[in-house]
Amino acid sequence: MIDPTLAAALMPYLIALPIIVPALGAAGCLIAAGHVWLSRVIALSTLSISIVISITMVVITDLVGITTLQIGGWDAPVGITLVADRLSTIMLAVSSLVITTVMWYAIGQRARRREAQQPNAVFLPAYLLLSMGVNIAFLAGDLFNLYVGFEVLLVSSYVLLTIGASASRVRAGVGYVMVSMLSSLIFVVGIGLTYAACGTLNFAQLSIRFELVPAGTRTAIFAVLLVAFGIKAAIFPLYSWLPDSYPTAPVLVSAVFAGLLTKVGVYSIIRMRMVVFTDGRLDQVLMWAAIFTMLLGILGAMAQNDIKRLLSFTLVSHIGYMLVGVASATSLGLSGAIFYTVHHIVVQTTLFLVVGLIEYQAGTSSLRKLGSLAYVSPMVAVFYLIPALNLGGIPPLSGFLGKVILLQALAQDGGITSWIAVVAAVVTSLLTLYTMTVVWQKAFWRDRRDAPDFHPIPHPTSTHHEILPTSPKTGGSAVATKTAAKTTQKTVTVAAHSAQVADDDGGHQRLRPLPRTMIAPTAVMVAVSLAITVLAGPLSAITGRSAESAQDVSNYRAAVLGADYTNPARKEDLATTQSPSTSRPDDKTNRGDGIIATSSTPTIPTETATPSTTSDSQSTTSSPAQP
Amino acid sequence: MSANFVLLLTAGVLFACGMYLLLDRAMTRMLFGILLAGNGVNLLVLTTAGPAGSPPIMGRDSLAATTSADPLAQAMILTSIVITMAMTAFIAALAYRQYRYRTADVVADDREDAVIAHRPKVAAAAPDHDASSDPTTGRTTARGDNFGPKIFEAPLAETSPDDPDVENSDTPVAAATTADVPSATAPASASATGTRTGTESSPSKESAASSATGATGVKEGQ
Repeated sequence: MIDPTLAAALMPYLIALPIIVPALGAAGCLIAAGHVWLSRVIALSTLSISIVISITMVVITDLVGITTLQIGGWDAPVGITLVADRLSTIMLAVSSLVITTVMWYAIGQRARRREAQQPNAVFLPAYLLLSMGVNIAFLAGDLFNLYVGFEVLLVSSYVLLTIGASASRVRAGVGYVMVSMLSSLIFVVGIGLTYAACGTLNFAQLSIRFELVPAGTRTAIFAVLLVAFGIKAAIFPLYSWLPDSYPTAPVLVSAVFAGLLTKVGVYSIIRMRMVVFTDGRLDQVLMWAAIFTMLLGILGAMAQNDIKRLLSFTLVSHIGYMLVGVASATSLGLSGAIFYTVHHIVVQTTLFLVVGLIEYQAGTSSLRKLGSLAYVSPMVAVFYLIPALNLGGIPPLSGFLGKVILLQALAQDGGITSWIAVVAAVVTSLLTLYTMTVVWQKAFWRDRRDAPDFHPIPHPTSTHHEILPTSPKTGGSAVATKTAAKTTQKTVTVAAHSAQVADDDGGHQRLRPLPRTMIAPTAVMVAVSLAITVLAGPLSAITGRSAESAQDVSNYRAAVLGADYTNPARKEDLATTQSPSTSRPDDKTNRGDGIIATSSTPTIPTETATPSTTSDSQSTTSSPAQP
Repeated sequence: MSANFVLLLTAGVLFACGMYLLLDRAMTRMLFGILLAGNGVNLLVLTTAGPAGSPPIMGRDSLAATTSADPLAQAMILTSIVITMAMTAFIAALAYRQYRYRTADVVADDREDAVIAHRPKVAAAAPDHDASSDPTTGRTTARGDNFGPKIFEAPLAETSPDDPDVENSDTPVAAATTADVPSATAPASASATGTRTGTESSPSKESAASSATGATGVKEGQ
């Protein structure tokens, strides 16, 4: 449908846009901070543009293979390289879709609430910068830019998590900030060690030079990096910060965090494992970490009273599925991991948005207080049910498909650990379904007056959530909370009575009506999660191809470093490669999934038309190079 | 490449001291820990750039060395320092904010976590418990709802006095009268400002805790 040569020529110009556009949007939002509508228009149009760009990039990359952009014209090992391959463009597309929808939801929520206290002027730029950081991390072609991308998204996430700076958010924010800072420090240690061992940070060049580094050193460095990414991805021993911090944030912030931030960590692990540390000496460790992540996460979810905390634990648990795919280190497993990541980003975000609707309408997200929602707002019930069944892995939906791919990969592997992982995955899936059913039964089908902590639907005039920071003069905190608890208890009982009375004359109309601007984005997310199911065939074909090309190290090296990267005198070339080269854009068309080293002549367009077959041949040619 | 052992040792000691401080509950100490560990990490990156004394410019030499130093490591350290500085400002602001809330420098516990951890092992305290279910066995009883639109309209069936949860919710309803309703909404909206003095989620946690203790037999004074 698109001419491959044209697409390949267009691609270098597109790569930088997912980074530039949100940055400009953030600047525009800051400038237009006084004008609420103007800044909203800027933010939404920025994100819509980035959706279009990223989907175009997915299509083009699937057609022509890996494309790179050397920023400033400095050559690959020295300069800053942005690499767009199938894996990163898929992640880009899904993340920009999620970010835009959640932004829409946020604006809808805010537009509805007339309170101007919420620091809108900070929210939109921070949100756009978060999107920029995520995009940098996905496109980074070297370790240090990955770090920079992480920092950009983390700093924005600190601001978003503590927005409004209420006491509970400050408490949660302290833990989150400290843990994230620690992981960043460990990441820099990993960068320092890598640089000391290899003298470069470019992924492609690292993968070449790490083959000369002793295996023990290599594994140790990978372990350091894995700890850094593991904290970000919330895998087994390092996950406890997540259920502590995410539920206190505003729901839409938790939604986008749950959808994206941990997945950036997973993406980094995939990238490191597949491109740089290809020997797989830590696969067993990863596999066990994944097993424990799945089991402990879901056991934690079963104990929770609060739906947001419950969802945070299921988020932790399902990170394990992606890790299982990575640890199996087969093409099928990786494909399943990527598919599951895409599915999970969408579904987890949708669930958090639905919890936002529940909270908005019922005033609480505690399982011990909710009830009657299926009768009160059947639409929310439908919105909840579809992603919940999807997360639990009910057959026609995409969660089931992702799990099937992963289980197939594990079964093909056939080792003892793999079979243990199969059992753990199935058990986790069942327990996820259990937790989702508990929420469904208690929040939607139980009579609300049957809830153990009886808690009425708040009166429309009382603003229930988004409680603002207190004045500091209330004295000791213990006193403050005690008095607050007393007053609320009175409020609860009094309002309980009014609700009880109102019920007699069909008082359910007293519910806060859900604004359309909040319903519509949720509906879009539910539709997207269904679309993943319907389009599972093409999508899994793309993820399969992206898994193959992500595993194909020689292809990646050729795309980043140029076709002559096998030249052993390469590291002496530093002086020559430091001069800015002007012939870059012409070379780039030849760097798809094309043959490396032998032919650098532009015979590529015919070959790139069948990318999967060429990458097949690539992987066979590259296998002797690996020890 | 030979590295300077003293520098590496210093980096390690700085990192270790930073980690020790980071384990503290006081926010200022955690901040100092982050700073110390950050300096240690920067020193580590610095040692990767080769021996000291070389000029970081191509084609120039100094008295100490004739090769040029690697400027990339120093560029990375600069980036790292800038990021650490910004984060220090943010953490300091956060620490100040927390001090204003708590009049203490110490990080608070996650109360929801504590409530769940110390939850009594009875059915009435479980998250999937119904008020109408049996408080000890957790079985559903005839007083529970029967899944249907009609039942949502109907009031809950009469309660037995030995069910603490239902009693908690039921007593005020009996005490208040219908005439109070219009005036009752005013305190409801007024106390929304009252809750602002507490933590945002404190009402839910407080009542979760009270119901947990109520299930063990301790009656809450209304």
